[in-house]
Amino acid sequence: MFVMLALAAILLVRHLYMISVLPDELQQGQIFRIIFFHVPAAIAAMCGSAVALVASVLFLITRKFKYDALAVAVTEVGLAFLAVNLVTGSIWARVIWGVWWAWDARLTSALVCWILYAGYLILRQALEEPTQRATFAAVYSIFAFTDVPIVIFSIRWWRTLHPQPVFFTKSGSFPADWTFTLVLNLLAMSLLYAVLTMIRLRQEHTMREIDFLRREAHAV
Amino acid sequence: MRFARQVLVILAKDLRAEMRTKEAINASLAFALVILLILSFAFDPSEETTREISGGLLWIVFTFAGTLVLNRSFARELPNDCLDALIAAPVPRAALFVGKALASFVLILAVEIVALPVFGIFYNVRWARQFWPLILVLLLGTWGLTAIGTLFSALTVNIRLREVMLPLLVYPLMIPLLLGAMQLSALLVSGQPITGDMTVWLRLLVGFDIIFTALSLALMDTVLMG
Amino acid sequence: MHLHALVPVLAFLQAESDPIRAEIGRLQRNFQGLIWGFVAAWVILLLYTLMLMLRERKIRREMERLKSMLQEGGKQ
Repeated sequence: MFVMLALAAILLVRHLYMISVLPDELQQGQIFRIIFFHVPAAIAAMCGSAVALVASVLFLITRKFKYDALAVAVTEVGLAFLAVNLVTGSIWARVIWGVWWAWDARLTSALVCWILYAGYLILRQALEEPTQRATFAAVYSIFAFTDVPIVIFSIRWWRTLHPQPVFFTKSGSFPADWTFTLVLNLLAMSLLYAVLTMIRLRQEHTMREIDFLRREAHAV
Repeated sequence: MRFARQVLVILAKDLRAEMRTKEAINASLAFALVILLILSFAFDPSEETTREISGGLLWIVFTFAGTLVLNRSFARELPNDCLDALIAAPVPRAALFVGKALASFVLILAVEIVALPVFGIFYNVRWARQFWPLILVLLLGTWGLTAIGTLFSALTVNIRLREVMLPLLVYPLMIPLLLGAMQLSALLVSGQPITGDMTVWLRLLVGFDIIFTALSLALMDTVLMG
Repeated sequence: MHLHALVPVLAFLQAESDPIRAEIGRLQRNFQGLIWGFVAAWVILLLYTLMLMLRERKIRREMERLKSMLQEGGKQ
């Protein structure tokens, strides 16, 4: 894990350097560089939600708590990354569109996604018994994932204020050196995500041990 | 078909239980009418704004009133261990889900059918110009609400703060569905048919209905066993 | 991009007329937005990491407490 931490650190330093040492600015001006946070955070969060879905399904099938731990860890970290996405997007919107927020399909569904995953954590808090908590949280997580395809495809299905897809389509008009930096940033963010998830996973494991020890201690 | 008969038995049981006390449906209807009344003060009754907000307004009313019915769906089974009896009964959980969902569906639909003319009167809107498409949207939207609401009613039945948790969990999940229903309802109440761009909302409604129903059927077992 | 190159240009342009001043304002707001964006992103991530660290400390303390409780219980 510390290897990953070191790698993440290196990549992050590199990404800071790269953002400032880039040739062009586009029509939007300097603010466009915010894309190096905005997009990788979104991609990381969406991948995280996919992992949460798989973990939830696996928990329901196998009933092994390690999957439940993975689900909550990934969702919690995902909440932070999604917040980064929303806030950087909002600042970007304020500079370019003049408003902090707009209710188009992409923004609305992204906000709903954040609310859904916050709801996941709230649900977990409301349930004390570990098995019930894990089961119901898993069920909710599966339902929550129904919003994710909407977030991803909203700019294709509706006319939105949010810009059209540039990366995963053939008709993208993104300069190559920017793409390289973006991919590098994505790698850095993903590593950060993974490291945070692992920390959170370990905490979850410890908390489960505490539960167990607490029961033992009260029995004694 | 045995499954159909089991569903009908549960459906009939729920409706009969509800009709005896009329708790949920009275509360739901009263709530719907009160919201309509209060919101009529909040908005200036000029025709254009009313038609624009009609979709959102109607579905706020339907969703809030529907939650009252859905909460009761499984909460009704708590006294006298009826819930345990239902789970132990030799009925497939899917039949239990469909039966209860249909019962709630009928009840919520009844409230909606009453609320629509009241809406027309309070807000001075001729809502019936696209009557059958509007009914279709009503059916689709209400089924989505009911499908996911019934599952989460079972899920939250034993949680503390049940009355709050059900809306808290279900409303965000329903936002895409609600958006579709609201957009279509606003369109239809203002007398225009569903064409072109707006058909994407219809597809969204149908898609979510299918997904929610499938997921709820699959997960009902898990939720009831806890 | 060489920011230090921009400074003398900006200083020169300061003396000029309204549309240029407006353009400078726009560029400055633009750049400020970028800085705020970066700050926000980092702050959120750091805040979350902080939350994790705090929770780590809390559960470590709890662990120690329980372990000592069990040890005392075992002795008795």
